[in-house]
Amino acid sequence: MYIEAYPRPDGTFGIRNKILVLSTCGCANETAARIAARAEGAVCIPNPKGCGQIGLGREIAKRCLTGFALNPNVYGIILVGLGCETLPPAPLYDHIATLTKKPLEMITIQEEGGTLRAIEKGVRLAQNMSLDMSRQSREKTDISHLLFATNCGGSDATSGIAANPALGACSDLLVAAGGVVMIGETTELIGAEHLLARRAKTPEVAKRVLLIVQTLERRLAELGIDIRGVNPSPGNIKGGLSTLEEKSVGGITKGGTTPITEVTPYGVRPVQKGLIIMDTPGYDIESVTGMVAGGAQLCAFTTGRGTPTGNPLVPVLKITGNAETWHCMEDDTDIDVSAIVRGEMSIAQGGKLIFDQVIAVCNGQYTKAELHGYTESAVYRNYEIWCDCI
Amino acid sequence: MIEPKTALKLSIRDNTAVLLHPVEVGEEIGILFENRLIEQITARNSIDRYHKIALLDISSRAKIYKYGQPVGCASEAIRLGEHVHIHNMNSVVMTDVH
Repeated sequence: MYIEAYPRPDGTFGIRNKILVLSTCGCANETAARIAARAEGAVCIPNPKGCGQIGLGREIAKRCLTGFALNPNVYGIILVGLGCETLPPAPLYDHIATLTKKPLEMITIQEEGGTLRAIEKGVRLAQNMSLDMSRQSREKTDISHLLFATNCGGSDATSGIAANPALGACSDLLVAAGGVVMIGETTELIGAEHLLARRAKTPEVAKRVLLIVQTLERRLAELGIDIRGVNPSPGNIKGGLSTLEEKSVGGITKGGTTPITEVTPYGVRPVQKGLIIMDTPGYDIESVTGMVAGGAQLCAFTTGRGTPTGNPLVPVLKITGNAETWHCMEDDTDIDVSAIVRGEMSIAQGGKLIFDQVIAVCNGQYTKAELHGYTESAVYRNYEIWCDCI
Repeated sequence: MIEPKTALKLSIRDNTAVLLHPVEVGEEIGILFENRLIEQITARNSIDRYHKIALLDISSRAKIYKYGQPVGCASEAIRLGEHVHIHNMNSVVMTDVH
């Protein structure tokens, strides 16, 4: 099975061609946004912190910023920093340059002589990069180069009956074709971890599956936090889900039925093929962002109640099994598999329907979130404990 | 003819089914398993679409099954045809928090 994609110097393939204008700290966000606005194909990822960060929080931020730069959908990178932050642009530039030969530039506002000079230099760099990028065309490549992220948000009872199992059937097709599928949202593995551990490829992987869930449970218990206060969410409960384990058992089906080959920390690129678990928080935007930092080119997102969520670097393909949500939120939703709930479509047929759309999106077809130009992104910060990250 | 109201039994092991329509007290509901009508039950409560209905009498503290998996336990005795939700079932995970 082939897709048409953009080859990168590091051997990966992008299904989109983007110039990433990456703010290395909050003080550079506005400057980075203005640079990105003036170059075709450029997208800005703002940074809520980048300064005043210590320990693991700083490490996660550095890991994810580096991961964004390495994401296969990125053609080239312009780092925009202030100059005095705790995550300064120069060492980040050096670090990224050791990992990829993609076009890479850096603007430091204090060294350029302020906002106007930094923006002028940044726009010229971005436009030159954009011109080079426009000369590149897609090449035929094997689907096994696809790192496919999955996520669910706004789950209801149809998620576990239709959208998640259908996405699971698609995941099985991708794994069979040699691709990589990621599931995450450790909070929503609670109560289903034994089912996943049983499917681990090695005893070590089984141990890691149980470890990420047990570590999260222990840390929440130490803090005296009752996760049931937020999960299932009020929307989940209104949608007929009563307990966290009910949500979890319905949620894990989106990864399909193949063995778990690896458990990878938040934002870290997996090395194995097959079905991967990334240790991500249950909050959708942070979860998808971690998978994008880990190299995913596309995210399939199941939803019961509907969501507009997009991402700056990857297409987010929305799937619902709820007929009412399809009618009320069609502007935000790409695929309707509610016929499964009515018994008019098999789960395998739903999986093939999603798979065909995945191929079309890989080849350039826009998702609804892309049509809206939606670019939500949030790097997980370890002050609220939702995953382990180590 | 009015379409009969239905609920999905997702696994042979399940003691609950997922309603595909909102139902009123006393309404008859056809239970579907693998696209076949396997039984008919009567709703004891008004219940929202996509919520769970008990297919059997379930004793207090017995496991609630959906997808063939335990998804919690009954916090009180539940009768056949009753709404099964947060008012009469609990999670069994993370219970050591308290």
